[in-house]
Amino acid sequence: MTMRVYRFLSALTLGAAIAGAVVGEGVALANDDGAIAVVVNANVPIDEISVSQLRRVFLSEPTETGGGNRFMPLNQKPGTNVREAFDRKVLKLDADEVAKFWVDQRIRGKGKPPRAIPNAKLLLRLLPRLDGAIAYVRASEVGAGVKVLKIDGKKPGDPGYPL
Amino acid sequence: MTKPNSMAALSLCLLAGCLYDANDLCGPGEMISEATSTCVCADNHVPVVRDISILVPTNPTAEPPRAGCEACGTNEEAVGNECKCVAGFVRGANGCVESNLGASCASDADCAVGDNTYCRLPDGYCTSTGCASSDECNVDADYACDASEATAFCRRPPVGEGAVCSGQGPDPACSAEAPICASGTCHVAACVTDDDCSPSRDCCDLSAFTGQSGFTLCMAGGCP
Amino acid sequence: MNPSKYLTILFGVAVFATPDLSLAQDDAGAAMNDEASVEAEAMSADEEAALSAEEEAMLASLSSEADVSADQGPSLRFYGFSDFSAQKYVLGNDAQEFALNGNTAFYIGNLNLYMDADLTNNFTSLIEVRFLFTPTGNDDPTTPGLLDPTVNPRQAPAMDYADANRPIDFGGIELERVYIQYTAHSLLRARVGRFLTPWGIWNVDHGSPVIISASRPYVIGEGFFPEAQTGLEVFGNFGAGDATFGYHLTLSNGRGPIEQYGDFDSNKAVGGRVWMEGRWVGAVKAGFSGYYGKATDRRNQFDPTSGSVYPTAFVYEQYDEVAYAADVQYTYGRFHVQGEAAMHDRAWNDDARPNGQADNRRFGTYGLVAYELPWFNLRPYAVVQYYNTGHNDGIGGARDILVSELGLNVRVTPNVVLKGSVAQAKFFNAIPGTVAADDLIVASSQLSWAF
Repeated sequence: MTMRVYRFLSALTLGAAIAGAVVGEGVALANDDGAIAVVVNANVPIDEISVSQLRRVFLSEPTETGGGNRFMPLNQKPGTNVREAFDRKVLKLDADEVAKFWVDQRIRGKGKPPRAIPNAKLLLRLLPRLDGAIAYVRASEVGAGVKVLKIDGKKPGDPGYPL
Repeated sequence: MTKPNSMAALSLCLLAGCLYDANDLCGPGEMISEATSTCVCADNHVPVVRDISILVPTNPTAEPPRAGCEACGTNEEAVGNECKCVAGFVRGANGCVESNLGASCASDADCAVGDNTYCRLPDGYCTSTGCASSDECNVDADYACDASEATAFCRRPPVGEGAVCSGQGPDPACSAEAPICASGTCHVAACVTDDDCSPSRDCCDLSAFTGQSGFTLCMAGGCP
Repeated sequence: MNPSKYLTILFGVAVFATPDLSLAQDDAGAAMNDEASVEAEAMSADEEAALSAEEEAMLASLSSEADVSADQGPSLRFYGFSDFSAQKYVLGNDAQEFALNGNTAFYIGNLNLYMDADLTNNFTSLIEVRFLFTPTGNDDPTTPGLLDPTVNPRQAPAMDYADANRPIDFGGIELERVYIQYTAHSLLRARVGRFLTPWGIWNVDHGSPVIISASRPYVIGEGFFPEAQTGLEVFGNFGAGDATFGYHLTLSNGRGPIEQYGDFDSNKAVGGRVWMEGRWVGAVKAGFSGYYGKATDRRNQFDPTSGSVYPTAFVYEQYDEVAYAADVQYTYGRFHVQGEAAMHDRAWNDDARPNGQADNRRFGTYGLVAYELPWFNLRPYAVVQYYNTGHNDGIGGARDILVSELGLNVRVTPNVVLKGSVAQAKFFNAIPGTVAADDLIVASSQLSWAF
């Protein structure tokens, strides 16, 4: 009897695992959709940033802008293509890993993730009004009032542009 | 050559810490017990009890806190947690000094520098007075308290008692104080009670062995 | 039930509990909502008004995080973690039977609540509180124990005055972290209060969901460094290419019977840590930590012969200590390896040395290898740890212990982790008849979650 229960539970476990895998696959359907531009408040005195600096900024490590302020990173909404592409290219983490990372950081007492802004329009309107603000949008979405940073010396659209 | 060694030692010290010295793990006068990894008093050392005022000890049997151990002095030996004078020595003002018990004298002045200031005459030996029982005398030296006089004193054992002899009965090899030879040693005769003998001996009635009524000897190790 | 069946069932339950991973994002309420492009056409007045309102609200929210106005006050965030475990010791001798409970036990190991707030753009505060079920069930030191087993040795429950004085179990609270932090620069951050000692990996990363194995390696909890200190911590870091370098410096009361709020000596403890992190072929992080302190226990005595009616204080016990530790972790894809090694020296003040206590040097180390399988966040792992207590009766009657552990870590969701492990402890140089005279096996499973 005990063995029968054990086999039944094992079968259930396997079934649930397969179902979980299918659900999990569904999350990883996002794909890239054009270059990502890193944009900052126009008062930020730098014109260029490296991927590793960008990574530190978006991992909420205090990082100076060079103008007496610290960067205030603003994220795109989780689940959007641009957010997932940014996380993958800059943080080297997929969506699930990002979620785990911030849970772990919270328990370590090492800070919280950058605020996520509901949409790019709002993000681009907020950026000029927040000192040190830094964010990312599709290159095609960049409007006036913000500055696009070069990444490792390359502008969006340049060959070898990392984002 | 010295300088590089010093630098190496300093580097090692910084790296591994200078607090720990494998050759000095315990307090003064202590040594490490390999079996228990605890500090115990070194040989011939006794604990130095810390100067802590414990008015009502919670655990009276617990060993009081100690501040290391100290070596016993010259002519001392550690017995339990105390230093005691070795045989033949007594505690004086400056540690253990050789006892003058039994030393020859002609007057009290000859005994004044030692621990026994009374010169017993006419026998001529240094001893002490004022005992109430033999326990107050040097039992190791077999002195007995003699209260037969107005001032009680510690009486030395009879001269020649225990000396080797070969005959049976009165023997010229024995002294006047212990004239009888029996079982190869000289004995005091004609005792009445144990008090007539040295503390280490008992008064034994040997009439049954000798056929002489009232024949007694002071004998060590119990009567036959 | 044998441990393997037990673990399998737990894993089964965990997989059932696997929710849609899209719900487990760091920001709540996320859903697939791709903003593909900004609409070029002009917005209606209503849309513009709505967007402006949203902008102002968001701006206020972001500004309040950055600089809290006096009347509004900072917003307090609550979060934490907890874990539920089942543990079974496989006992091998009478001493183990006496010292350990051989029955499978369920328990809540940790319930830690965090409260943090951004006070201004530069000031933040963090409080971490652990709730415990003890002292209920702990042995009461005033009972005679073995001398009279008929007397209940455990703490008596309290009476519930609001419920007809019925017995009520009471728990405890441990303040793990309480500090305020100021960020002057990435190179200079300072926190004052009570903080976890920055050494190694798993002293600060002490939350059960973060720890890969079912419990921290034994040596990490052995207090080579104080687990937490009260005082000042200064730290910072800087990036150089793909590498980041950081430091921590600490100044605290050090260890002592009232270290949380007092110091019985004027000698403050100092410590530090340097670390680097690099991302080249995989990610590597390494650090070196050190600590020096003086621990003092002061007592009072009353001497009626002194003429004073006041007791006088004196140093009852005192030692100096120094500790060093090195740690390294390396992650390459799904492969993770980490290790820590620590050494601790303690030298007693000869005038305040407890009877029999020898100066001591102890050291310990562990290595962990884990690999995350491509399915279901399954991460099998192996840990080997060694601890030399420097004392012949240091651990259960042995000087050295070697523990080998095999386990499985399943990150069911980012917030929920299930672990199962079997560990075997081998003792060396054991005193016959003690716990350490035979190997000890422990099977553990744990469900931990962050909330």
